[in-house]
Amino acid sequence: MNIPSLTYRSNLLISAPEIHTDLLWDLSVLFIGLALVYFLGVFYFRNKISSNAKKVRERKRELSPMISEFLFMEDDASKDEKSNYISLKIEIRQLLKDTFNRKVLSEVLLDLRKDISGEAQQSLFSLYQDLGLHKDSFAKLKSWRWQIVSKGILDLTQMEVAESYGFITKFINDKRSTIRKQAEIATVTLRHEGINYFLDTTKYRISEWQQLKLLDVIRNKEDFQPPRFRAWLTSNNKYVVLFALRLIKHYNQNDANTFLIELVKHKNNQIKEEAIACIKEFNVTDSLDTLKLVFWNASIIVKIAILDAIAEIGSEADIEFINLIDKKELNFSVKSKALSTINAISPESIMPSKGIQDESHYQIPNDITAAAAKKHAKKHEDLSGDKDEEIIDNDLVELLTSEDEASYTLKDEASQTEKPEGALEVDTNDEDSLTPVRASEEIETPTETKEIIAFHDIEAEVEELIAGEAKTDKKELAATDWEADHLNFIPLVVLEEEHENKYAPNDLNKPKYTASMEEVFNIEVVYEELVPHQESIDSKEDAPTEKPLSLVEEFNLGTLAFLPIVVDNEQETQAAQIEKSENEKTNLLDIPVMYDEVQSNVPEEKQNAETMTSALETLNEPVHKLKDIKLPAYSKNDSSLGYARYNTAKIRNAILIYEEITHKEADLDVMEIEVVAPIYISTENKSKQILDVTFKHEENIDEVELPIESEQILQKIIDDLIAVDRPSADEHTVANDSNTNPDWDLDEDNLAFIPVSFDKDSEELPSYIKIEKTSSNTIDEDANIPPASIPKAIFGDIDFEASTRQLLNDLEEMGDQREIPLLKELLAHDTYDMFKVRINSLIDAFNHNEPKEKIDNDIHPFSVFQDLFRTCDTESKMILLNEVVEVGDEKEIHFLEGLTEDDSPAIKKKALEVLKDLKIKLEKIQNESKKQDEHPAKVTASFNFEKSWAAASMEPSNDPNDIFDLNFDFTGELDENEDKKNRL
Amino acid sequence: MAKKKLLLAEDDELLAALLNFRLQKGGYDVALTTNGREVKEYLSVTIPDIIISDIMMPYFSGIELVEYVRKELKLNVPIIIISSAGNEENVLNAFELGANDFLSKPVSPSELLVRVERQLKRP
Repeated sequence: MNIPSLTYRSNLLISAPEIHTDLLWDLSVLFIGLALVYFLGVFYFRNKISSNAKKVRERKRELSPMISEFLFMEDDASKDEKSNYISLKIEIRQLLKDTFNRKVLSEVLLDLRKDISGEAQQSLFSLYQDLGLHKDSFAKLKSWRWQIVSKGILDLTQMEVAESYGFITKFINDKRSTIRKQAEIATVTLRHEGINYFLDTTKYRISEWQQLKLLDVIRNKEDFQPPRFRAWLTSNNKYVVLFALRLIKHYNQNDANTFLIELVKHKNNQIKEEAIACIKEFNVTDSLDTLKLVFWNASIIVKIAILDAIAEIGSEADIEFINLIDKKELNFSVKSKALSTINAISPESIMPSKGIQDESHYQIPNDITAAAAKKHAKKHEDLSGDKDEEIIDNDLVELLTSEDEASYTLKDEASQTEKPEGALEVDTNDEDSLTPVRASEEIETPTETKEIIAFHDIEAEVEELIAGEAKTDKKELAATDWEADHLNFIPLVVLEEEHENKYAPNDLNKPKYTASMEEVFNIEVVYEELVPHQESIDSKEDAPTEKPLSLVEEFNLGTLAFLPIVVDNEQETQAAQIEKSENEKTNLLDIPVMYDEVQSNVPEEKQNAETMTSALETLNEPVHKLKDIKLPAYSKNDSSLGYARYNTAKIRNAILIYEEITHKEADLDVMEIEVVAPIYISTENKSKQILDVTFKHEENIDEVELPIESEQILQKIIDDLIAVDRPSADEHTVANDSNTNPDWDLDEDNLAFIPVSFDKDSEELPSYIKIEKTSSNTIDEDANIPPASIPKAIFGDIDFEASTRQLLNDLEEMGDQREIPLLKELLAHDTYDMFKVRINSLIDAFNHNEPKEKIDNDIHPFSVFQDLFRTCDTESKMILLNEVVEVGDEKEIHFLEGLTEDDSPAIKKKALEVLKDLKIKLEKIQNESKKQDEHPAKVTASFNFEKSWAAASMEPSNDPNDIFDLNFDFTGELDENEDKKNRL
Repeated sequence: MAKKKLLLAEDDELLAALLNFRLQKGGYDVALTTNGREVKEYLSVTIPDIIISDIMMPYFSGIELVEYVRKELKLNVPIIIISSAGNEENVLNAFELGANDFLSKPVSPSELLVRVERQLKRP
């Protein structure tokens, strides 16, 4: 049996499609398959999206406490909090390695930005950049997809990444409008001057909406000082001009009147309109001629705008022009506007005439009493003839038929709309009624513009009115007998213009029952007192009462102690120049001296130097005086000179600090001199090494010539030193003062005791000299102390033996080979065999030992990272090491050095890298600080004392072992320009 | 001294977490709720010293919360309302119903803390 292959068979009557059953099955399968795919797809993507959302939500929950911790981290947090903060930072940095986390964190911060303000918001912005999330936004700017670029700009704008300004401004003229608009808002938002840049550079249209948004941005900017927008009225971009005009109007910048007048002639109607609006706003009366000129070729809207402006700023002289418009202008709106303009300039010049119905339209209702009607008719006949009578009758009928018998009704605009019962009704609904009529031609200006019609016992009133009118022959009702007090409860809502328009100017049927204005104005009005809300009062009460700030009383200079003291370098330089010129005048020996700011390294020793200086001053009136003298340890091994040699050796290595003394009030200029090489002085047929002086800060020394006084001072110093440098091994006596310390550098107390020896001729044979601390040897430049008193010797019983023993003990305990020179010195001076043996043994011991590390090297500053490292895994350690470079300082160097020996090669390697980076960073910081500290003028000079020493029979010696080493031979570079300046 | 109990009702989890952190740091015992139901549950068990509530919350708005606290529970607990900008009408409603103070979003956490302290100092 054959299975029919077709589902339907055609017969004669019915024609059905012949579709193969297999095909139907196939199609069914296909569609079921497609449906399955569709539903599976929907299911898959829905699940994916929801799982992703869930993941994001969970991650946000994880991140939000971290963010809170970051946002509310305070500077004065405890150590634990800081430690926790760093741990969090590490954790968050680890999280940020994942793109998903970065995205989530960005979202979180952007969401929070909308919800929080104040300090927290600022912290949020900082955090965004600290975590480097702004880099992702920068990356978005490079995308080719407009929506990503736009999102990148938006993110950077919202997070106020100021550094993105330069990147974003490039998009201001992007051809893609979304990006362009986003860039415009970003530019204006990120910087105050952004609006200037935007208006300067934009080439595209600025939509109305965009203008509103930009205006909103600049309005909400804190401390925004709007530029003078007239600068952009000359822009080639008409949208810029338009926006500038709107901004000018918004900020009331009325300094662009000339521009505004010119812009009225602009071909663009929008610009014209805006310019006219500004003219109107700022009352630019000078623009009237231009407005009239422009009027005839302007569009209807502009014409209306011009008429509006003329109405505001025009005068009666302009009415002629407006009349012309009224005659010539065909457009209804313009004509109407012209007439209203005339009325605005000269009120009530034109009144409505068209559409005003004839009085015959107003008939007295039939139900009015015949008697009243008759009386009224009679009265009216007397007054104005038959026609008028009819109208009055009509009015009265209307009045009398009103349902309400209220005594009084205010007739005004408000009553028109609500039609209060009993109000007088006049038909003014006809639209033609607004058509104005020239007052001078057709109508009489009503004398009373505000009326109150009182209906007080209407019938009687009408009768009285008729009678009254008959008597007085007046058109108005003199409502003298109604009591205005009864109207107290009624609000006065009066619209003058429209009320006037209700009646035709020549209409004699104006309300008959009018109260005089005087009485209306005398109505007592009770105003409702507005009481502030209770809450407001409470809040005011609760508000803390601020004490008035008293600047004088509360200002404390101490609070400004943190401020740096700023010294005017210029003054300093000028002073130096004056001094220099003074020095040049003296010009005695032409000894070039380099000098500049000098600081005392050993303040304790100033007293000695001061004493000497004061003494020298008395002799020579010096230009320079010895300010300070630093006497380091003696290292000579010349026993023949004894203690005196020891002293001079100290002086030999002196740092001499000179203070310049001039006759005028010059700044303190001292020089720091350090002995580096010996110079011999010939005295008493004996060549002796005296002083060798170098300047410590050559770069800061200005070249000057040292006058002879200075040389004399130096010579005096040398003489003094030589005077005490006449030792005899036989003569010196070992003192017994136990407090004596041969090294001047040890401490202040011991500095007072200087071992000295005296000449053979000396009458006294002291072994030690004590420099007495008196008021005269303190820093007092005016002190006048004879040289003999410097240093003043006080002889005492000093336990030298004990001190030497103590010194040796200390040296043995803490010393190393660097102490050998001192030991040799002691050996040379010491007379006790016991000490000599011990000193020799110490020298031997030190010779065979490596120098010990300084003690302070063992005490390393605490590194916060060290503590964190104990609990971290390797990965965290690596992150932490990255942090070290960023936040670390010299405290971390030892810690890193320790890590270079770590077991983990990765950490070891990383530590080395970080150590290197950190050192570079610290070096940079140091260099920068040095640069800042440096004197701007790079000045060096030369100082040669050889000539003066030659004059003093002193010859430089090449013998390095000689006591004094004085060879001032400083050479250096001096900037030629600077030199010229100084010399001038 | 026992910490003051503070009920914070805010449906935005991020903001709620942030304010929670700040208020806890400010020394308050904060109960965090993210919708009206949780607020009701909490109030049925505990009476806080102060309530901070967002106006727009699921199930139970901030205004309803004020009404519930004032009229049903008849509590005189200070209530601070947090509202979005441009939601002044709701704020007025909340005040009429008995809210004590309000803050407009974006909220400054420091300012919130000051306002809470001020409300708690009121007699």
